[in-house]
Amino acid sequence: MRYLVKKLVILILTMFLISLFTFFAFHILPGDPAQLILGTSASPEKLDALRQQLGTDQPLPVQYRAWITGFLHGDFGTSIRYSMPVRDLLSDRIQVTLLLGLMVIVLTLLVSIPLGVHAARVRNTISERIINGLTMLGISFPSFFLSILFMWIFGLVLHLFTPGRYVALSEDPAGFFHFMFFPALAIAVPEIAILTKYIRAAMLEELSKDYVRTARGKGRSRSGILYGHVLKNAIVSVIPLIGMMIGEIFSGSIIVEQVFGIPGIGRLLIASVTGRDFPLTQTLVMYVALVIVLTNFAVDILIQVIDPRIRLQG
Amino acid sequence: MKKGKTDFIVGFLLTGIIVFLALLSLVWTPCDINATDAAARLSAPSLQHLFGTDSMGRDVFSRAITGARFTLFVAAATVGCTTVIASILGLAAGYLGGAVDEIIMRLVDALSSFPGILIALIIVTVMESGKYTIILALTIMFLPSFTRIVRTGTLQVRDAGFVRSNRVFGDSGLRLLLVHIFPNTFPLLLSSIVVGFSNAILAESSMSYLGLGIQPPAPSWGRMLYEAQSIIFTAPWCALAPGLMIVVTIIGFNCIGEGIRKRYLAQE
Repeated sequence: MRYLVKKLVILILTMFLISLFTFFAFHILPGDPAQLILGTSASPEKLDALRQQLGTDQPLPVQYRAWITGFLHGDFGTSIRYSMPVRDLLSDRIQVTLLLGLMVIVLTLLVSIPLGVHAARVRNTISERIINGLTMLGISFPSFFLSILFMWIFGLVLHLFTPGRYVALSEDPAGFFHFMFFPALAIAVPEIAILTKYIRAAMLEELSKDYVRTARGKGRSRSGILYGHVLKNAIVSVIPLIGMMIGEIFSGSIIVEQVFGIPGIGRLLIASVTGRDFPLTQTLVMYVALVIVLTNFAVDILIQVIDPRIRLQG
Repeated sequence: MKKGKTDFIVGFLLTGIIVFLALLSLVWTPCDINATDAAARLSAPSLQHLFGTDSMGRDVFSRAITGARFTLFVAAATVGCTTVIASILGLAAGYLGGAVDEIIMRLVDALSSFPGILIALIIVTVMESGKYTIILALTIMFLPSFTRIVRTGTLQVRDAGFVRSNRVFGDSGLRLLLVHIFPNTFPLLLSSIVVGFSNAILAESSMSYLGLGIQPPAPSWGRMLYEAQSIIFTAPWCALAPGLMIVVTIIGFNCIGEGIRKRYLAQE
């Protein structure tokens, strides 16, 4: 319980700092947003009007308070470029990005758990070297290059999907998942590589423990020990890493959505940055950071529930 | 055989090739990087154009090796700035402890809960995009992990016997810090510097791909890939040349990093 309270306090503090960072980054760094949006040739009247609309004529603490209370009440402001509430812009896109992220996580776990276990099993063999080489390759391909390669090889050469033709979930769910498999794979490859490495290391560490010898002495089969005892403990030690991967998956999704033309949060974010749509960028950044911090918090709690040892240490 | 020798050989070989090509582009490129040749548009790799030409008839090899120079410059500047700032913050936090430590580490925690790319995007939105903005953005992005490493290294030896005895002999705080404590963080710091290189290259090329990094007409690997994306079917070399150069560079740095880890840090 004390652990939970401590975590909650840190969570709130972190979110407060994040909101300060996000807010002041847009206000302290050089440049007047109104000027940047309208360009240098804008008339003073127009600039004043926009400043008033953006609220940038108010003192900073007042602006911050207005922004954060609005945010907490679900009022995310209005996008300049789309001239519509940011909230309406978010609603469909969140679904797309979340589903993409989920697919990445499922893919990553499906591949890296068996691969990591196998890698721990075949220590000091050719097989291990091949896996080592593959993980090294996996972390060395930038996601956008991998995406382009996938579009070329799977799309244009093998005709497994049609690049550039995004299928909306509401129109054709099967088509949506079919199309999204390839971007999800592009994001998942480096994650698979990293997770495989960690699972292997965690497995090797667990394998050297006493309970494994005991289990072997009792005559349990090799795979019984690996999957029944060792993997369970190894997974627990890898869960914090999965929490950290959420942020990376989102970063990957920003870029990969751009390459594949997927209308998600990432694409909206890049459009807002290139279009200098400050309110939209600010809100998106805050929103995404919030989701990531909360997910990490949830993962922390999950570890508590799964592994009583940590709970006892408190 | 010494641990990690193969990693070092492969790593230095690959990064050596890229660095050599990047330096070569300073004094010589086979063709002018911006010279267009309408007659030779999208020609396949040949002796005249080693990696072929792009949709404007520009020589892809010349552009790719010039791009290497820009990317390596950004990576080196980023890692350099990050190391200096993080060393100061990490040493201060680890050595002084108390409130200073608490403030620095809370800020570092908050900063690291952002995905790095968001920080970079904020900075690029607010400032003009270009080489120096990218360096600033990536530096802020890498600060948290580097600071943590220096702090951890500092904590490990702050109260060690040799530091205490030097204190008794009258060494000033600053001398203790710089001569006795700081060098102990080097092995860990070195491996993050090397990994930092590959992360910086990944981040810079991603930003340039998105059009938020190095601005055209200056060639950058990320931008070249963006331009090559729509013609990948007819002219795959336009994408493969910069793409594979990124991969080779990153593998090179990762191998060196792995070598350092195996030789100096591994407990096995």
